[in-house]
Amino acid sequence: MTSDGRHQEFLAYVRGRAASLRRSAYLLCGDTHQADDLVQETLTTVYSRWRQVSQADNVDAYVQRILVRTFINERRRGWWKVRLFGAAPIDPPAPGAGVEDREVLRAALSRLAPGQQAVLVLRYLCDLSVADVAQQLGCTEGTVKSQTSHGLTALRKILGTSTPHLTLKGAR
Amino acid sequence: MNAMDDSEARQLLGPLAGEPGGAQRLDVDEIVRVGTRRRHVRVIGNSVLAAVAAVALASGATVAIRNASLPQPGDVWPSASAPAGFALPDAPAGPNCTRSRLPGPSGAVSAVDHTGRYVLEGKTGKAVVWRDGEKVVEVAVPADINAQYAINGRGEFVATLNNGVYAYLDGKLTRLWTGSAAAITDDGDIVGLQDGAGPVLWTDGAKTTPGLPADSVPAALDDDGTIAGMTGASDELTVWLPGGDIRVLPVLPGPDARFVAGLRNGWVVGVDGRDGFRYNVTTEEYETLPAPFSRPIAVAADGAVLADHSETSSYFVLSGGTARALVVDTATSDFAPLSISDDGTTVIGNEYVRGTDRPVAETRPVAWTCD
Repeated sequence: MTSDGRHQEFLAYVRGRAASLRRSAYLLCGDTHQADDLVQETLTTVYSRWRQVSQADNVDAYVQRILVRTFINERRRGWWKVRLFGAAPIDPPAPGAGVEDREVLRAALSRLAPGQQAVLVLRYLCDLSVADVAQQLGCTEGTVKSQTSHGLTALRKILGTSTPHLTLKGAR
Repeated sequence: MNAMDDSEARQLLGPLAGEPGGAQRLDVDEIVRVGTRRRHVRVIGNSVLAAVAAVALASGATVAIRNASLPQPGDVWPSASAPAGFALPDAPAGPNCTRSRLPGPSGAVSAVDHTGRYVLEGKTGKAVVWRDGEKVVEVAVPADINAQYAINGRGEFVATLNNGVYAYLDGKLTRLWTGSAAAITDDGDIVGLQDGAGPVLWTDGAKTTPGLPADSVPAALDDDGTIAGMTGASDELTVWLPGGDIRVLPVLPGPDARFVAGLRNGWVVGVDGRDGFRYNVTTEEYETLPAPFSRPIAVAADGAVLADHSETSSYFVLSGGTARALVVDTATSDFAPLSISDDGTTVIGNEYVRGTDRPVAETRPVAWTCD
């Protein structure tokens, strides 16, 4: 395939999958603008390796893995606070009840280690199996289970101190 | 405390489910432009560099507000004060830094030590250390396509991998912690971030806390124990000295995009928003780099700065009042210089030869000599 052919192939992939990637990014970081930045950075990495990526057995899984790794790496470096697109308007709260709960939950989640954040989101918001999460994170299923346990314990501890209605049985 | 089952966990996290609002912001031209230039092998700090580059490029502000012409050989660069007892080289005016194939590695170089003699070639599942073109050791490491390395002046290295940070010290590979590593000194000290714990330091064979605030990001470590990095909500550029002194560097106008690119022998270089800077720990002198050189890559022990030129696909060594261009061939290849040697005379990096049917046909390790 010519370089132009690969370029067109990449553009077609972006057109077809950008919205789905944005949804995953949004679940990971909880902010529309950060999600856009995360997708931009992920697709830049994907483009730089497109020849390799496009030959993968499961291109979507490969790209999702890059997305999650990018999220974790940026969180570790604290670089998620930088917006690639410069100043952007603040996210308006989503309509409906529970806005405050969402904010409290998101703030609590952001206090966990980046790997634990990713594990909890992938398992309980993206509904992935332990095996699928392990595949995306490039670790063992045992690590996913321990990260899940530690993450949930830490989350419950954080929430329990200030917002008892959000913990466990009281969760809405 | 009872364990939480899966259904309870789903219920707890349920409020976070939802769809992003508004139209998606995606700059495909920028993806193609930055992605084409990005090296396939990542180096320490690469994602940070890329993020900041994207900030500048996406805003268009770098070029728009800067109209400085490219320094010519002989142009005077702002005062280059050196640490006590360390003289700046009297760089000759005129000659470019010549390029040659780096002997030894067959593929891309992942990390280079401060002397410019030790080079690490990262391959899938192994790290190969070279010295002056001769293979020193081949170390099996857990496979990770995103592996990031740093290597010291004794050929020892630290690797940030998917499943943890690993150090190769005294001929042995050891897993240190879960998280990332930023730098390794000749004494084998390593600084990084541990998931859930924050900044962490490996010294004398044990893990300690370096006394940085929990929200700090250590980015570089000098031989005397000085750490440079970012801290606080606005990523203030900060230098932590071994004696306990803390230096917070000036905050320049512009985006909150700050990072440290290098630290060597008391010289700190990095980026603050749209500006590149150099700071001297000894004299406490802070300088912004000449306008086009807004992205320093590394600093030599003598204060020479390896920097990207923001308006062209070219790189320069700024030293002794002059800017010396690295010889490149942009018609056929992209280049990514990674490091500059202590004496400022050797730059090592990679050349990505563009193909007719693929973005990169061949990757070559290269060295520039600035005699």
